[in-house]
Amino acid sequence: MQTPKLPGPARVILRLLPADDRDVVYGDFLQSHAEHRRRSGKGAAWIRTCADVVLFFAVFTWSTNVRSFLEVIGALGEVRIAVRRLFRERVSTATSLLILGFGMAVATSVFSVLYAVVLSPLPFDAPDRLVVVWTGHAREVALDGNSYQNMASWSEAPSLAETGFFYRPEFTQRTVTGGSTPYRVQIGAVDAGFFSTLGVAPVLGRAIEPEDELTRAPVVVLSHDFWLRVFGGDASAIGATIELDGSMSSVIGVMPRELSLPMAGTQLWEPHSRWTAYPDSLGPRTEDLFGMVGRLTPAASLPTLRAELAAIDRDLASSYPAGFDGYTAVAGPLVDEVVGTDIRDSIWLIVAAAVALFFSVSANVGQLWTTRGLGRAHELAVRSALGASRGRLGGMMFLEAALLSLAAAVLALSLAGPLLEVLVGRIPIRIPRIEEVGLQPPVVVFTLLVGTLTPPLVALVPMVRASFPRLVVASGRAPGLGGRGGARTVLAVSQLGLATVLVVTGSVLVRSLDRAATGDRGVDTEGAWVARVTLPSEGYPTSEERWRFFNGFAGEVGALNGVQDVAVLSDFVIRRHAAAELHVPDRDSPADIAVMADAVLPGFEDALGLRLVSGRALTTDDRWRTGNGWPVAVNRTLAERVWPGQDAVGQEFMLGSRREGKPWFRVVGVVEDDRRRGLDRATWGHMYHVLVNDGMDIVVRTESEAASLRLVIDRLRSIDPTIASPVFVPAAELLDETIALRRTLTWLVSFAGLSTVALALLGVFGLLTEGVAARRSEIGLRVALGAGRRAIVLSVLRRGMVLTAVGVGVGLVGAMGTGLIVREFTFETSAWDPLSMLATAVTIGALVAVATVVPAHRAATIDPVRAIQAEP
Amino acid sequence: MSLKWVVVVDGVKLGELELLVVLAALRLGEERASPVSIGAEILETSGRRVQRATVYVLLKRLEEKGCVETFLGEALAERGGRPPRMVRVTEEGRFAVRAVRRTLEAMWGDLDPEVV
Repeated sequence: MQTPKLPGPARVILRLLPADDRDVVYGDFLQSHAEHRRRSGKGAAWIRTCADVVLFFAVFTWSTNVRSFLEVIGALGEVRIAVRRLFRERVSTATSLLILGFGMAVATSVFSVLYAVVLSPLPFDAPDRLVVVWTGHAREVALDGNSYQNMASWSEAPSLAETGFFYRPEFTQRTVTGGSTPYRVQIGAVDAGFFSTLGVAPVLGRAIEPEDELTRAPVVVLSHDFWLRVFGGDASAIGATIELDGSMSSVIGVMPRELSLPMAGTQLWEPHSRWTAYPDSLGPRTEDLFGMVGRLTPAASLPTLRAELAAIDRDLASSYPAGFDGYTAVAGPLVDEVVGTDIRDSIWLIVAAAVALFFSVSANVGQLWTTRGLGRAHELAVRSALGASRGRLGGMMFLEAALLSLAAAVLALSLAGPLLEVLVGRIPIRIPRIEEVGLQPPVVVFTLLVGTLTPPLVALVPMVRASFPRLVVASGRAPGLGGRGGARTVLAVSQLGLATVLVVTGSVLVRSLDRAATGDRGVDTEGAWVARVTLPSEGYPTSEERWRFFNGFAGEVGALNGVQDVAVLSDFVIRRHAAAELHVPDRDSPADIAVMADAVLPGFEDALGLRLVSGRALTTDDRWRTGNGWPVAVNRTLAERVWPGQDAVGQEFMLGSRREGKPWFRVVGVVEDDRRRGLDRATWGHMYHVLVNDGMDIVVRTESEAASLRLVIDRLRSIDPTIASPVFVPAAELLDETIALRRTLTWLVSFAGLSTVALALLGVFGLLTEGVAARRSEIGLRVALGAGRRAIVLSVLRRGMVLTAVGVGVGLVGAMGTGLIVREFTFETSAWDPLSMLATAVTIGALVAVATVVPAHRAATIDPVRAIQAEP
Repeated sequence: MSLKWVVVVDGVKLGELELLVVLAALRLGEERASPVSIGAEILETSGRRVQRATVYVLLKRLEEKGCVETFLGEALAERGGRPPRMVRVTEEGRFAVRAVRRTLEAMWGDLDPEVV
């Protein structure tokens, strides 16, 4: 006999039922289906059964869901009770709300920064597959970019689905001319693959195409910002023309707002061939003019790409021994390149400090709640006697705590907005992607979730344990605080420990900052101002014209009233990586030193306050190569590293690979080192040669700054009004920027440290005060039995000191551990600096002693008669 | 008869339909009481049509309250080899309906049949 079946639709619907009901109900319907068939025939039974099943399903789900809905309402009743209780205890509720709200606001702000800068994906398609490839060197001589030929070789790696490249952005600025006031814009000089590799499509018009590259087409793609500012967001911008450095370019497209590569603040993109000779002529493999982005194939990973690149490098090294000596391809995630590893690491350290602060806040509020729980011991005892389980009471207290934390989280979210504005506005460094910081959905969810759950969880054990009714409740005495309160002691000790870790870290960072900030930079910044002057390439096509301009301009500025000194050099603030490798005639391998070539005008040493160590200063005659090499000056570091124990003056060397026929340089003078890169960074070798580039830094030392600087700017405009007006910044401020990240980090970690100390003191104070209150009758008895005040005070003090000793001890051990991380951020200071540790321990000990005074005084002034009478 | 709630001892509330289900199960006996037969019994005796799904939901609720127990019966060919769910009224269930009866009878007491 064939197994009977229900109609198809009925079977499908019944499959939606819970498993334990499904079979039985199916059977029921089979039976009634057979009945229907017998009575009214096949077709009618089919319809009838289907209708029955639909009805069954509707009623069944409705009834079960209504039921669970009613259960939720029941739970809401609990919520209502909890809210009412929170309102009844207004003072303690408001205090917890404020402390928690503050702690959460700090944590939320820091997390917003972390999220926006480090965690949130780059605004590109599949951003985790985007990589950058740079040139590394076996001898630690970092190249600033890649050569065209090497990039072409590396693009062959099978793991790379697509690649694009850009010309080094520090070289590519233009002046927008044609308007009343010319101004500088940052250009991204890129190839056609650049946009498609990133997966960015223009919002309007088209991107740069291979055809534009080949023909050196005068076309530009606008950034979203430029489009809004200059064209008012008008679609007719496509096809319009812009005058750049005196020649016309036509607008072909507009990029989305998110794209700000290869450099933050990029306004326009042009075909790279507008700046370079490629691909018509291929430069040497040792040049460093390009950055390269790549997209991994879905199957590939960074390690496989690295292995493939290493294989390509081995081939290159054997095929081009002269041109590819010691270089390697270094691949890393694009996001690290965009954010910068030092900033990323600093942000993580700040987040760790904020987490510690938040934990401390939770612990403090936990102490407060425990006190409240104690006050309710009687109520809880009654509930327990009436049959409420331990879990139910715990759940009730958890619900109450979570509600309070939720309110605090909402408060924190409203505080975090203004706090973020202050935080972001005050940070003295340019952090990439900082403009994306805000209360984004993941940040809000994070705050609500973590903020609401953490404090009750931290406080749960002591809360429930201290408040859980025991037999002693019957006598009306507060339970759980036989002068100790184990779980709360653990909280207080861990607070002290955290505070110790943060303060040790903070003071190590402060000492590092002090070393990095106050040492001699070797440059005289007194009254010195710096501005960048960049010549439009159209007006000054030859180096002779550029020379004439800068030389003449420097002379005129030097003659101005109030101007004491003028220096012109390629980079006052060193923005580039050190580049070239250095060869000397009688040695085969290059010297192991990073060398930077600085273009200068004669007289720069005097204006910067650099002492001449030996030889002579550079003069205008040194512009030209003479029969025996090009006369240059070098700094002391270069001289001592390359010619140790010898006089560098008269020595010859060459930068870059020696086989490429580059000029030999001859040292005519050695000048003192300076630490413009920052005291906390190694001094590079510097070679100064008399030369000018398109853009030069002008350093002006003045007596009365404002008036003189105005004169300088006016003089520049009278010489050439097409040059963008320079912006003068104090030299000291520019040098300070090199330690801005360190300063910010130190400030934030110290702030967190001091806050945790304050919270820990509050915690210890509360614990001791309540300990004294709970031991009131015992102390009264002891006094009555003849114990002196001194002994009573000492017993309280001793307890405070034991807490401190354990807490600080644990903290110091913790600080030893965190030192492994902190040492990455120190300078001329050990991360395990004994002085910082000792000072922290002594300071926290002294502060706890002060916090002990009030409870000790209370204990000492207990009146034995009244204390014993009060005992029930 | 239109009772909203019938309150029984031990804080167990027995709804009107729940009462009907327990009574029907008692009338059928544990050999015959299943969700389908309970629905049919209520219809036949009281003239009220109770949805089969409602009977299932009511039985679940009664089971949670401890008034009934369910178990799987014998698998039959006409049910496609699937066992029916059978219902047995527990001691608590009997106690509950008895209490309802006592409450109602006490309330009626010697009320004039003309009034109600």
